Amino acid sequence: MAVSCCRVCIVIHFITFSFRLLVLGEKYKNDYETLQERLRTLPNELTHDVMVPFGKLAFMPGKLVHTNEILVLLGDNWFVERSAKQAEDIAQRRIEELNKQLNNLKAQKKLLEPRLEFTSGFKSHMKGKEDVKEIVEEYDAEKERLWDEQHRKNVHKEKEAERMLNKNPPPKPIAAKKQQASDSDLWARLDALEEEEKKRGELESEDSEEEDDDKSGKTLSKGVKQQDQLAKEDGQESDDYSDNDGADDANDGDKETSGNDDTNDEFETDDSEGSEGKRPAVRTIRFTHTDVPSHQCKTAGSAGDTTIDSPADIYKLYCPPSILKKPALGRKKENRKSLPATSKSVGFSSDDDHEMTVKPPSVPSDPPRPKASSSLKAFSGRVLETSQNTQTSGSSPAVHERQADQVTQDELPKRVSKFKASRMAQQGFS
Amino acid sequence: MDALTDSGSGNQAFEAKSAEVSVQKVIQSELSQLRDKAKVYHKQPNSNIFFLSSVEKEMDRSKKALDDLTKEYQVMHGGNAK
Repeated sequence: MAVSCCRVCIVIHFITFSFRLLVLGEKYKNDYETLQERLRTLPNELTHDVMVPFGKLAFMPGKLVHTNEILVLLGDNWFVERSAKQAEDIAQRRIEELNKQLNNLKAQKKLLEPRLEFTSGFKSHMKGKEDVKEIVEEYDAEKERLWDEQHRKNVHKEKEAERMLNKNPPPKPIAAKKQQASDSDLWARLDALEEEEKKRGELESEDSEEEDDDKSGKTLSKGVKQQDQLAKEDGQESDDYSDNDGADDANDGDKETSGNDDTNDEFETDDSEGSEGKRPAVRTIRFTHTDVPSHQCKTAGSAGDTTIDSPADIYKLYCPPSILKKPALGRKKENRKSLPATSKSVGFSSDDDHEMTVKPPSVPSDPPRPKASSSLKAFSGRVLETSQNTQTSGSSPAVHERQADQVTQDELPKRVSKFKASRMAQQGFS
Repeated sequence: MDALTDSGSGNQAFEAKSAEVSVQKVIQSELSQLRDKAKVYHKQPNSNIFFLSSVEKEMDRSKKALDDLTKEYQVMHGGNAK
């Protein structure tokens, strides 16, 4: 009801507004038409006799001269001097504009009138004058309150009756005993079912294991076997790489402790050496990075060895700067000069047991090692597992250098800022 | 709200028209009482200036206005009747 009243008010507002505008528009139109008529007759005579207003209440007879010079108001206190004919044309255009606006207003009125009829009809429906009737529930606060109290009392009585029944149940001993017996039977039955479920669960797990073993598409053991195979293949590939790769990979094969390296990631395969019995659930792969001079790329390129057999060859040719942290002070000048951006490769295990350190062929952080000068020793006395060991003669001297570097690193404080290190290095070079 | 319905607006317009009709009738009666050479001035709408005119011209103008009003009244009355 309130909504309908609001709607009616809004519609009424719009309609009254449009009516007012219509009336005003009609009035303006009539004024312009009379003005047109006057402008038409003005040039007919040289002068016109008029009664000139003299104050608010008096008039004086006078004459209108220069009747063909009309000042037309354009708006915002702007005037234009026009002839009578031209002013007449201006008035005509304004009449046409008014007609358009009046037509729009009439259309708006046509749109609003049905809405008003609907809302007025709705109001009459509310009153019950039409066939449609509104369902109205009368609300009396006092009656509601009385009803609530009565309802509360009834509920309270009901609950008390139930409590009494629960406290003093009817005399049925046989039924009670039966119930007790049934309860104990139920518990026993539940226990039996639980045991059966446990057995079933064990059986199912055993069956599933057997089935996995039997079937060819087993997942667990197969996955473990695949890992073993991969480990073996890696070992084999490392041997292959040691045979096939060129001088670029020589220094990668040098075993070296990487205790103070910034990237101490040790690559190893745990189950590669015959641990075929129990497979570990999780295999960890750790690998180390060691410094590798970047000029290897240039030497490789200058040597004319541009054949690319594997992604590693691409990396060697490209030889990007290492993203790893630069080591602390202690590096030799030669290495510093040759390492504008130190790059690191796969490292070596620190043990002397020659644990197998497998170098993955596609490791991106595996740039080639620099070729040492021929004056250095060819053999360091250590057996190297990787392929790069036998490539160049400079591998062992590089190892010596690195060992020395690491010794010095141990002596020096472990943490030195990068900028300071570079500054000191530059000072050392200079 | 009832005045804003069609019948309401029609009533308002009818009343306005009837008022104008009565105005024109008064004008005619006044003009008829004047002598023929009397100076009659016609007020320019929206201004206080009066242009000199004659009794005959004003009588003709009044009659024309009255005829227009009666025609409009007949159109309105005929529409309402339908």
